[in-house]
Amino acid sequence: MHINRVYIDGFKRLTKFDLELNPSLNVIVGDNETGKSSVLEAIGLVLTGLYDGRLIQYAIDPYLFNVATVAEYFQKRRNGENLSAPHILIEAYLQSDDNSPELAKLKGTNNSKSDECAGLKLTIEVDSDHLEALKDYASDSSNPTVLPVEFYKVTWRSFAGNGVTLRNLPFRAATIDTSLARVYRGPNKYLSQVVNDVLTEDQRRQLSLEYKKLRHGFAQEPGVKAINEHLEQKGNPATTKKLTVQMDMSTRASWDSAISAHLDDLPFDCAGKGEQCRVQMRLAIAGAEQSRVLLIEEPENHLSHSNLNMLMDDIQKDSAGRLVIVVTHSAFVLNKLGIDNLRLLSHDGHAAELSGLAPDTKDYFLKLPGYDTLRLILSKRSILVEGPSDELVVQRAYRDKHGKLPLEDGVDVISVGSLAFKRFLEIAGLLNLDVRVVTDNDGDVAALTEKYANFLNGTHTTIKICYDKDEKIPTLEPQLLKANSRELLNRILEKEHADHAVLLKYMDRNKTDCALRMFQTNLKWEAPNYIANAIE
Amino acid sequence: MPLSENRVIIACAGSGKTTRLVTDSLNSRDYRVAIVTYTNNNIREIIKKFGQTNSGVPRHVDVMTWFGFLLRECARPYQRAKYADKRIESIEFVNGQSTRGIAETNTRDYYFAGDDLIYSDKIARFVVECEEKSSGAATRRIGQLYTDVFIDEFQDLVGWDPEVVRMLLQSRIRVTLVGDPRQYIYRTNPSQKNKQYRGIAVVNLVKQWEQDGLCSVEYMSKTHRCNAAICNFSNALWPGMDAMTPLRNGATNHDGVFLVAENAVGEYIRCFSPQVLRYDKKAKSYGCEALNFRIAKGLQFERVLIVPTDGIRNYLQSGKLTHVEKSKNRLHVAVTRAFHSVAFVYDGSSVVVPNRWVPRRY
Repeated sequence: MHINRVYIDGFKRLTKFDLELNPSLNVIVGDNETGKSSVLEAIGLVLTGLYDGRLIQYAIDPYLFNVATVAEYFQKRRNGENLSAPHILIEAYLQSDDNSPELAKLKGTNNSKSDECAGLKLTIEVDSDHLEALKDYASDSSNPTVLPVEFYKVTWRSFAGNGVTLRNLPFRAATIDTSLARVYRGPNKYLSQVVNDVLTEDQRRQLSLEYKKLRHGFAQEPGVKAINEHLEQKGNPATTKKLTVQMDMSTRASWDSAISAHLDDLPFDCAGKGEQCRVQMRLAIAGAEQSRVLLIEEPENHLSHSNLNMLMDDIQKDSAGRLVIVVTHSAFVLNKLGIDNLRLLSHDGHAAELSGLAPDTKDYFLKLPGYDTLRLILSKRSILVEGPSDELVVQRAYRDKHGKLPLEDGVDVISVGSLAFKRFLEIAGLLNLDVRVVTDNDGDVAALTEKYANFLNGTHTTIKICYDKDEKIPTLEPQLLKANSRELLNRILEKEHADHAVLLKYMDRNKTDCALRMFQTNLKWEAPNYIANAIE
Repeated sequence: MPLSENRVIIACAGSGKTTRLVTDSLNSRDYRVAIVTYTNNNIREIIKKFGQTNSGVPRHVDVMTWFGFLLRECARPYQRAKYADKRIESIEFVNGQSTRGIAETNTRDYYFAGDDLIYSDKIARFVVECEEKSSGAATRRIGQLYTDVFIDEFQDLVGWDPEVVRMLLQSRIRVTLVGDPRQYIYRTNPSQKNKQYRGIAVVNLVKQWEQDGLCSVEYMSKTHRCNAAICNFSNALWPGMDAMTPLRNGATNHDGVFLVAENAVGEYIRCFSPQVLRYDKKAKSYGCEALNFRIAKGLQFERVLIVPTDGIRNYLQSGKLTHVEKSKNRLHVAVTRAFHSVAFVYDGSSVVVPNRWVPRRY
């Protein structure tokens, strides 16, 4: 079983959000505030009917709804206009080609696309019995503009149109949260849930039965028997009935509240937090039931680098045959899990994917240790440059033009080396990223236009290649000299070179030093044309 | 026992059809079985039988009512092919015809009470049309859910119901229909569709299906319940039908079919404690907990005492079947409830039942 696509409307930041998923691993990347975590919450919600560990019916909260939609509703109602009430819709479209009868049960065309497939649909909408009450509430401007969720109801159904329950679903979904927030909520609560997930139904029943036998046996112990006899003889003034002590046999005394896990005979809670975290994750990942969905939230947050590395290996090894969705903002996680599994969430609430990346480009990024991939993906605009001196010059030129450094505008200047330009551009092309390339012409404009032919023919409107057409001025240094007088450059560099040739020779030999001085100087200088183009 | 392809099993009263349903589905553990039946009473009987033979309904078997099956597994999944406005919430049960003078093309008003309750007399037609409009999606889905669909009491399917059955017979699902045309209980379904196959004539429909190569027909004519005299009485009601034959011999002090005079009923009840059966509550019950004929369907008793209608009286007197044309099914149900003895409260003479029970006088 896997999820082909998820459709989310009205849940937190996500409106009309359509996400297609890979059969096994999916890495969702996005800047803060793009709704990454909401995607994970929504998927968990539609697959389990649970939100934050509670049945959604009892956990409806005004803040689950899209803020803009709610605000618009209140505003329109107060102007006396009619508008359909805010609602939440989450749909999971499942792949059901394996002819499993359990999935066929969920099959039908009752989804917003009228597709014939198995799937689940969760809606939180105003109960029609309370529609008038909601309308009145929203029209009255003395009420706070917080959605009155008391008027709302939850329906959770299959695409066949029939209601579903967690029990009769053929798969389970587990959310793994490394922040350990859940561990603190109750002793062993989260762990026992994970253990629960790992054990099969039969094993769980077995454990529960053994535990009951043990508790029952307590009353048969000679010591306990003697005490009960004593109680019986003494009698109890409050009642004529027989008073004994026994173990609680009711359901609230189930095994998972009494049994605790041990690591090397040490109670789990006493182990280091990092170890706890890793064990929980590995348990969840190694879960016995194959047909599971794993939702993993920012695994980089609370793990050391080596633990994270081990975890990533586990995820990769065990992801075959199950659906894994990881939300991250770590380039390490992304590179490790494969850049082709990437789903990018953009600020406008849409998802883009990176399928069709050339194999050697994929390899290149898989080996790339740094954070450059993610910088490219997450910044509003990237300016790719050939090396550190270009970077410094571009930074300074940008500040002179806009009064602040590029990063303050969400523009990232990334030094990648000219050989890697095309690889980065391939990603940028697939994701429609806004990218400027600042490159030398190296004295051969024809070679350059051929190299970037794909990006110069106008098909990629978000990509701009900036270079100078004058082959006699092939690199940065002569370009700087072209744009500025020798005298000015001499002053900036605190030199007194008598002619162009000597100055250029000096600059060529001391590239970085010169670039640093260009960056730091109080004097004003002009950026070469092709750089000026790139920082517009 | 390997399940063969589509079958219609015509099973007489007491032939062990529920047992057969249950054992067949228990023996087919590699399959997934839906048992569909008409009434909640039948569901209880089937679940009880599973309890006796298997201490419960096994995982691979689902038991459901005909309407539940139509709503959940046939209508809702592909309802959008015909009606996409709202989810079909439930069924509006109606006696007789739900609407008059509304065109079929007006889907909402023709099929629905309000906009989300589908009329009980129209749901089968809705299902058949959804199946056509979705190019067979509904039966494809059911075929993924179940390898076998057993339909119990098939003789009670009327109106568009047989079209749903035909739709299933034509799909890749193996369908087994079990029932007894003699035990059809008339319901008010004024639909003209398949009117010619109502009641005992459902046999002709089955023959048609057989001719069309949709199923084979099998008979279970041996009864574990009724003795020879009771079988003979019933068989006389159905000339041309496959005759019931008894599997056991009478072994009590009072076996067979009898007449009891009105003034001897009290004594008869005292001697034999029979279950009193009557047409409806307008008939006398002689101080006993009487059951109406149609309620007694599916039940069995050691002995029954039948309070006859005028038609039945005339039949007892003359032996002419025309007198019981309308009530033959119920009379048959009533008579075949008994293991040992059937008695009619009847004072006159009879060509059908020669024996009269008279209390001994000391």
